Amino acid sequence: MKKYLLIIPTAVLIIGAVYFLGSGNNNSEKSQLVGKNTGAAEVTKPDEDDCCKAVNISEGSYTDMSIYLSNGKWTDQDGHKTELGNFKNRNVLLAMFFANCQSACPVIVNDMKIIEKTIPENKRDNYRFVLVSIDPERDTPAVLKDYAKDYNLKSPNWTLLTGSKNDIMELAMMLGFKYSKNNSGGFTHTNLISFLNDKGEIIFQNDGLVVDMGSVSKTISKLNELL
Amino acid sequence: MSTKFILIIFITLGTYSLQIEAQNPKNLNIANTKMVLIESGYYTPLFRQNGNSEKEFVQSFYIDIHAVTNEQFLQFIKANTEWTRSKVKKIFADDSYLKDWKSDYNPGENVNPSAPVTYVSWFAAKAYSKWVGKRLPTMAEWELVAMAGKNNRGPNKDEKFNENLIRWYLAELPKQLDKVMSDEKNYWGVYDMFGLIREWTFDFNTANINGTAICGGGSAGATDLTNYPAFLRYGFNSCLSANSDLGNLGFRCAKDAK
Repeated sequence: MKKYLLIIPTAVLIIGAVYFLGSGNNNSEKSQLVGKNTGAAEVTKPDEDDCCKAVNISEGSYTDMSIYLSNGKWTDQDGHKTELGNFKNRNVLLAMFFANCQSACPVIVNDMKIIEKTIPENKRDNYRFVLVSIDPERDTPAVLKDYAKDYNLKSPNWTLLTGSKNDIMELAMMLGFKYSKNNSGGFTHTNLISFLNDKGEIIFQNDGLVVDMGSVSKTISKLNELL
Repeated sequence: MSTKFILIIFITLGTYSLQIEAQNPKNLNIANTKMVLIESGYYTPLFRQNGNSEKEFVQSFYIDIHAVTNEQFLQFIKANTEWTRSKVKKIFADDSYLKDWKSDYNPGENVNPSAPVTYVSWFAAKAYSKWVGKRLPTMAEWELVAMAGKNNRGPNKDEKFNENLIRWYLAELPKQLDKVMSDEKNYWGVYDMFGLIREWTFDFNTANINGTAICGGGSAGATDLTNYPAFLRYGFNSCLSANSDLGNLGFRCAKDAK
């Protein structure tokens, strides 16, 4: 008898659960906004893992304007996986480029080397120089390694990164860097060196191939004071 | 023994309902708009980049038949709380983010749930697309869909159409946006490419890198000087930042055709 008394609420619970789950699905169908569709339609269920990882931002560890809030995954010239947040607590000069670029990018790299030399030697370890490729198809870590060798860009001060097209575009959007692939296999792009403070906030950008040395030295002095 | 059994059922049910909340299959269902296949084709960019031929080949792809609505965007926010108005990071969305909504989880009665969500940044649009397992369309893809007429793939050279388009581009923002799919669909079965909102694309600011200031209205290097609506579109895009949030700017999602 006691057993029967327990079976009844259990059954109610199970029925309730089934109803609850069922009604959830009905609601979603009802409120789904779909028109009568004539063409080939496809509604693919998104990958559930992807859904929740997609915007997994490390809460609280970065300021509101830090580019380190980006979820981008990068690979350096030695093939090591890395995140931009690893440059935290250092001053960073960052530019986007591609190794096959014959005209503007070598100028940008050279400009960054000139700027590096203006930093007092005892402060240089507070800085990192980062080149991010916009050409992930051709710029493999091995290609980046060769590039670093050719231009005498020594690690750990210099890091060359490659990543997914998606992450590259996101970083470009954060920096305000514009690029577009052209049919000759190269890219049309703006020329931008971004100065980031130890929190990953952009404090100055040199726009164009001519370095505004006045603003650059002011920026460097400011960065040297902060660190 | 039996009490234990009931307890287990309670715990199982409780855990299960928590899991539902976390996975949000219902939210995802609402957020997932029906798509149509767009066949591959050629699109002529208004501006020729260095070394680019006049026409650009676009692979076939899928695109949402309508823009993401307020109701759909709310589902995304419920499942991804870092994208609420109060929590969103400034680098991803400026102060105007969802400014027409009443509060974090309530669009309010001034916003039509079936109207396109606007005041959303490129970063928010991209995150939404990823959440539903899609992506933002490229500008070439978007333009390929937009050049279709009612009964043909286009380009739509109808003067009346272009006139109306210019009028719309220059018009002020209505007090409340209409619901999606109120207008006729185009050749592909896609609604509201014009007349309702402007839309984010993945590479929205890459149209004119060479430095021709169309932000101010210049025209050097343009391939079709009669295409004034395209000027307005490109000009608008090149003035935007990815964290901009505007009342007439929303988005729809796309996907590779495999």
